[in-house]
Amino acid sequence: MTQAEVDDTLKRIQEHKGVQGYLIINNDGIPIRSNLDASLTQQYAALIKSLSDKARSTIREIDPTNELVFFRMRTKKHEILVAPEKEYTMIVLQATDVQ
Amino acid sequence: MSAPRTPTKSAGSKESESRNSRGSIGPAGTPPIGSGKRRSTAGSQLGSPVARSGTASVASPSGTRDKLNSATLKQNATSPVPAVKSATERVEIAENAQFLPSGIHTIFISSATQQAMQLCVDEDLTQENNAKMIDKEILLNDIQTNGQGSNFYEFQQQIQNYPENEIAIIYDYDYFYSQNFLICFDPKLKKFIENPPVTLPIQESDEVEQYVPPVPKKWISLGSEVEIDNERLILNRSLKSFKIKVPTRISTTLTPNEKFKDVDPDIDRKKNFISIEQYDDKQFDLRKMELDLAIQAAPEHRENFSQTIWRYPKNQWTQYEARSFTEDEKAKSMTDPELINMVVTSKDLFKEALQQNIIHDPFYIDWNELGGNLDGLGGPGDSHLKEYQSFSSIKQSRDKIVTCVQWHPTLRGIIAVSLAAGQGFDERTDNLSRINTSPPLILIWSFVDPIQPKLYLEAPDDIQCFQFSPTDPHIIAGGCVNGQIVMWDIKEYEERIRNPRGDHRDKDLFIPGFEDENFFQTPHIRFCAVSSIEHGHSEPITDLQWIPDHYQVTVQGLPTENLAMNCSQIMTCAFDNQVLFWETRVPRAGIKPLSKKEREIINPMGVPLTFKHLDLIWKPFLRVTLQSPETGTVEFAPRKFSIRETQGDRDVLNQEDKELFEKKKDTSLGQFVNPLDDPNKTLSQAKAKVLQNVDTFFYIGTEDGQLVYQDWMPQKDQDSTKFFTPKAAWSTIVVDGPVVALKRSPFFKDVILVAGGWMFQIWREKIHSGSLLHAAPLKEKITDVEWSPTRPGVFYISKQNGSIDIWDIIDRTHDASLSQSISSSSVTFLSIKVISSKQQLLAAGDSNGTLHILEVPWALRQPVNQELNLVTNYLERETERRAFVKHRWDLREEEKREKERLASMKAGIAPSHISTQEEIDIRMKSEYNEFLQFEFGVLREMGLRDENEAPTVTPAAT
Repeated sequence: MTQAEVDDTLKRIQEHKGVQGYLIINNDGIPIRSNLDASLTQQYAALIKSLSDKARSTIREIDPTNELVFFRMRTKKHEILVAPEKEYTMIVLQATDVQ
Repeated sequence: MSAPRTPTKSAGSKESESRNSRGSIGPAGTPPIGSGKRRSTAGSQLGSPVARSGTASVASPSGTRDKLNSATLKQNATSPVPAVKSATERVEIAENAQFLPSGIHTIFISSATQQAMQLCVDEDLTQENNAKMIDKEILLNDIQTNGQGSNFYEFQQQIQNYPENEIAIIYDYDYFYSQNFLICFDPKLKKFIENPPVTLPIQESDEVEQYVPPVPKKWISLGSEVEIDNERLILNRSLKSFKIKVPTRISTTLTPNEKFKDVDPDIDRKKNFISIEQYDDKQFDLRKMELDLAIQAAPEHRENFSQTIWRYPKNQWTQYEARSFTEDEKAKSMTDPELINMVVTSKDLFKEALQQNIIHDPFYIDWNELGGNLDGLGGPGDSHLKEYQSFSSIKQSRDKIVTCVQWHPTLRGIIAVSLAAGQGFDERTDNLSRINTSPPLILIWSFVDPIQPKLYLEAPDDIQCFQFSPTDPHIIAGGCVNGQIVMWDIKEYEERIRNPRGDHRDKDLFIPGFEDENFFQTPHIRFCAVSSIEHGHSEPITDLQWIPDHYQVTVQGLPTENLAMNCSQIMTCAFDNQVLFWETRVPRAGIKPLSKKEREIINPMGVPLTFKHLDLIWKPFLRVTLQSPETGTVEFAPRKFSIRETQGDRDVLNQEDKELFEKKKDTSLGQFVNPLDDPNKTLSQAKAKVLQNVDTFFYIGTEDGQLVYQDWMPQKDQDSTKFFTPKAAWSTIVVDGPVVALKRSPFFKDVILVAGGWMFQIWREKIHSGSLLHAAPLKEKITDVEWSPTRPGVFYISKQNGSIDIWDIIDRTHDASLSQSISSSSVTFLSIKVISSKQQLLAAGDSNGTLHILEVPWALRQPVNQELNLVTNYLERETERRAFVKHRWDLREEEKREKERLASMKAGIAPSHISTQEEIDIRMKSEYNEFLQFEFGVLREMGLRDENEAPTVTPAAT
């Protein structure tokens, strides 16, 4: 898989109904790629990163052999989808009231 | 137990022996080794005789064995009972015996037996070496030879049963257990006696330990030094030193301001110094030599609390910059295979989640959307209007009808009612010459006092309509029957209105000079100004409205922004075919404030001078004269009008440049100030911008039941260059009587409810092909209508028979959902007000001068689920239907034209169509064919022709 295909995948995710944006951050919470505006990116990167770390440690505490793969947060306005991997984390925002 | 034993002791040793042995058997059953528990309790009791015996060596009551050891060296073995011991001691000794382990018994051995058995005290046995093993046989022999005289006789059975050969005899040195010897029948204890367990601790302490200096072992490395090295903190930069300074507490209270100075004692000795000389007090000569003192040492115990304020230096703010990558770094990360891998693996997860949300919303709560209002109209809930209060003034309301009802825009529970005589035109003209002693009034009621109105507003003539200024609620404008506009200013009485108390004792509320007669009476307030008779309406004013505060109308009819954001213009209409616009503000600066004296001269009634500049000279600044589009027909006599803009609706401004307003918005008080107070407040709207979005078209309902769509903006006549009102854009007769109400829906600006006669219709602005809703005529004449302010689909219709119909177009559109009788006489005016989210009041005035306040039930207040959508859809549907109807009209029109053309063609009288020769030939030919057919039919009936001989019809050649 090349970078072009990554772009393609991201584009496809973006094209889903109600998707407001995505961002990819590294393990230090530094945004690598985002299509949100700068300040929002910064906020999501920092805040979601700490949340996902906490979530991951929760899962690991309960069962050390387990691993957090994906979590979704439903809010009044959006749904935040987070996929924390070892080195990178991907976040997608989707509007809740798609209809 | 000790009381009966004491005489036995003194009586004889044998007796006491047997007693003691029995006593010691008593607590048997506990093994000697396990008796440690008991020993601890025993120890404290054992302690006292040991101390008394004077032997220092027995300090520790650690075991029976120690006791036995300690009891060796006593010399008085020959005497069975120690003579020196007192009775109480003996009792204690006897008690000691019971603490012997089971299996050991006290025994008295006489000196003869001692010698025979080599048990001689101080020879064979000493205090230290106090035990001896005696062969079982020897003891049994002794019993046999001596019989009952043997010392061992009572233990014969136990000796015989003893499993081992040797029995331990222990010497009780100080008669601790009441006899000089102890005999042991327990083999375990015997072993214990044979081999005493440890050396005595007292002997241990005697030994002087020699100090041997420890020799360090050779250190062998196992790798820990590396760990230590790793743990070591190595500074790779110089230590930073911070100086943290806590501000010292400087309190003025702690360091008082007093200053001390040296004073010379010689100068003012008498003043400042009192010398107290030393002397001996004889009273204390008796010296205390001895003192009885008792001190109880108590452990010191204190409980203390203290709360400290934790004032430590801490960082309150930290500023940092979010880390971010440069473009290169980002690009580099993007090529990271791990990132690519992450995107690949999480792609499906995202896709699944995203699609799931589209397909089904798991957080959708059906119950919420269901809406709990099953008790809507037609349901079980109460949906009837409830009488909340009613106001009727005995004096003022008689023979009067309520012409208008207005709620106070800001104060709660204040409502104004205008009363009029309700005479017809003829009656009025008849009564013109009579002097009316009681002027017509507007009554201002408060909910707290349903008996007496708060204020009476006097009017020059009957008031048909009035309105509070929406931005300055103390200003009231009213339209008179005589065509004049009347202004009141009740600013001075606002406190009185607001005051919930029924009695009005507050002197400040009264105008000077009125206190005496009117002290407890409702004040009558004279109007401030009336408009000029010549320039105003010549017929009764039927409708009056303040122009919303967000725009104003210029002399040219242009809507411009209102920089003051205050309502200052009034729009009125009357039967004299006119709609007039009035300006209330002072036209120009330069009016000098009057002095107080002048004011009193001009103003004997104490009327506020707010509108002095208008009184009797007030002219409308814009006239809209209504003309019918068709010449020769009757002109429109407006009765009600409705403009598109509503008070408080800032949409138009939002569409315009918003910033301009925010900058200039004047938040000061209302512009209607008494010129005495602020003469400089004048009309200065020089730079006002024209608002393009304000619609200058408005609807007028006329006396003849017409609905007229009219532009108020005057047009310039090409020839005369004069401005005149354009002809009505559209008009049609909609209702079968004078229009009594023309109300726009509070939810849809372009939806108008028009009522008059026995009918009402709902129209939509600019859809002039017909009404959206057209109900069948009611049985009673409609007097007024009112939209519900919270339910888009509900409106109220008051009728002449005193009932109110409630229509809910969601429920049904052909008939009223509910009809309720309110009054015995005709309901004349409706006005609704949202008091709070839980209360809505409908004011209904009737033709008896009574004002009914009705509480709107929950079902009529609370919109049903999706009501706005439903009503919007309904109106959209109806609008579409109108478009369709119009389309069909056009079609039908065309069809009709076509039909007419054909008909006329057929009849041959089409004047526009002259047939050519060919067409005449065709027509003649077809006529001939018809004749042939007819001939054939006749002949066949007569039986002259056969079926097969039908004439060949030659088609008409073209």
